[in-house]
Amino acid sequence: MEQRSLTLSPPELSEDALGFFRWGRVAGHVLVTNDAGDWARLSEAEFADLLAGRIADGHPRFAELQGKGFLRDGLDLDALAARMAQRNRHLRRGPYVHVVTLTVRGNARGANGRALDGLDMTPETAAQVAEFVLQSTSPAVTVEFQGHTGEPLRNFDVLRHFVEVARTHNQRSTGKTLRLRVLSNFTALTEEIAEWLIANEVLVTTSLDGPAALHDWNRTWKEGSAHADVVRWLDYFQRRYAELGRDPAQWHVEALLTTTRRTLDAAREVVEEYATRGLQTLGLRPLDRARFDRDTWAAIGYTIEEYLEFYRRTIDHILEANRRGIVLAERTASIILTKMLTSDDPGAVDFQSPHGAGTGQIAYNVDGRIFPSDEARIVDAMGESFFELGHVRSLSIQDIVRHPTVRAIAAASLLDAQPMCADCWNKPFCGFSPVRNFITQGDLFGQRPHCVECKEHLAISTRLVELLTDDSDATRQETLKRWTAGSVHTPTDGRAFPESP
Amino acid sequence: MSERITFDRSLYLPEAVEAAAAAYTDHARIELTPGADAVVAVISDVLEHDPRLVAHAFCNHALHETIARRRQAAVDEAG
Repeated sequence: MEQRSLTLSPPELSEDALGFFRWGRVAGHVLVTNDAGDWARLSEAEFADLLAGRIADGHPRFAELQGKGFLRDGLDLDALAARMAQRNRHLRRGPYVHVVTLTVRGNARGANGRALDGLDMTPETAAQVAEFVLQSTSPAVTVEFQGHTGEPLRNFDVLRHFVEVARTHNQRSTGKTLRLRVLSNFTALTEEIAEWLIANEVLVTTSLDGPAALHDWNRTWKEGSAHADVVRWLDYFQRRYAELGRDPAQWHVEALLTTTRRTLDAAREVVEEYATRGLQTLGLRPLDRARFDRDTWAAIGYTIEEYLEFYRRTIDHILEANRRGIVLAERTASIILTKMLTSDDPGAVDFQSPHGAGTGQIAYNVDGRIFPSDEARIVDAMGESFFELGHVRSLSIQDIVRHPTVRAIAAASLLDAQPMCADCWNKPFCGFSPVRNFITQGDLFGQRPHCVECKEHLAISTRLVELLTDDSDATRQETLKRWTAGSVHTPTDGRAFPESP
Repeated sequence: MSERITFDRSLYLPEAVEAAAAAYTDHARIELTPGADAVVAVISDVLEHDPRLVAHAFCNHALHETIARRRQAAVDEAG
């Protein structure tokens, strides 16, 4: 074997001149980031100057790097602390996303509208959950009636009871901003129910997997309405919101996409379908391998590398649609861009450190048992009760956020303390779910080299930095600024990745 | 080169540290010495990966094994 020698010399380092930062190489440059979410792209020569303490007053990068806290010279520690506090304000807020499972009935079984023992939430439990949700210290709470385990509109009487109890209790005592959202595949929707949802200000999210051929192919393994029915109801809600003069920025139907192997070849078609339907957000996420048996995965699955290639192409198609004046953004990119381009936290629990399970999000099973997240409730449904926190009858919100299991989740997802994450330039823009680690690796902490979220988030952040720093297209940078969560409505108000109904 | 890590019994269960060591046999040689107050792990012969990364990930896994065991004990105690 041929032997080669390589001479390495340590960089010139002036530690006393430096603020705290992490760094990495992106697209031929060096990216430095800090815990306030500030970042700067440097050339290799500029990075060498930074490390050596040669960036001083008069240097072309001095003002920027000083203002962002990368230099010790003139460091405004109070301003840096204020930016970090703003970015982490969710830690003081209290649970703000409450995911309620109203039924575990499949679409084809059971009598529509009639409660079935053990499969549907009862009116008594619904009232207890509604009052429990309003115990949160958060001034705004979102209740999401999830739709992937069972269609919530098949237990519509209890949904209606929940909404009435929550609204009455909130008006009488707590006075919070209360948002309600139902995730429905529209299989149980009637015009009467639709009008009730509109009149009672319950927002609607559904599944739309792309054009008819793709959407309907997915229905061969996944329950839900055919493409024509989804589109008909989409149009119905959009028309009625317009007739009632509702603000389209808030009042529009959101859709969730399930990405299968067939989707990977249809990036452009999916973008055009969402644009045609007037949808403002397209949420991409890879399928979770752990949720499927071998045969199903063989038919619909793919590698994370294949998914990321699809993601990259889809982003390009959305940006191309934006150039034609179409308002559309990708959800994961919106969350990360909000972290990169604003001083705020977008509130997506999957991108928080520590992860927001139990502290930002709580999930309620049909029987009133409480879990730190809907994903944790799914683990219980798979036969593992590791994450069960107790019953709504016997717990308070304070019990939840102080629960040993919630504290264990927080400890396991604090990126500052995780191998690789602690040193990664993407740390201020990233997060991972310990519950997902538990599912995929059998360990709350997980090992980063085996973490799909790590690969996904790093690849997306890298691509976004490439796009933001590409000086050849200034309009694209302006477009991406409009993708930030402040401009684009985030459909789930805290859940980055709800399951498609 | 080896690294010595002390797992205090006030936090870590000895059997959890043992389980973590068993799970990492493909990555490194880990020798455990149980004591009255702590279990001491000596990590050497790290294969393929950065030794510091393996040591930190091993510590995390020992903590997870402790959490899982304490959680199960609490459930068993509650009946």
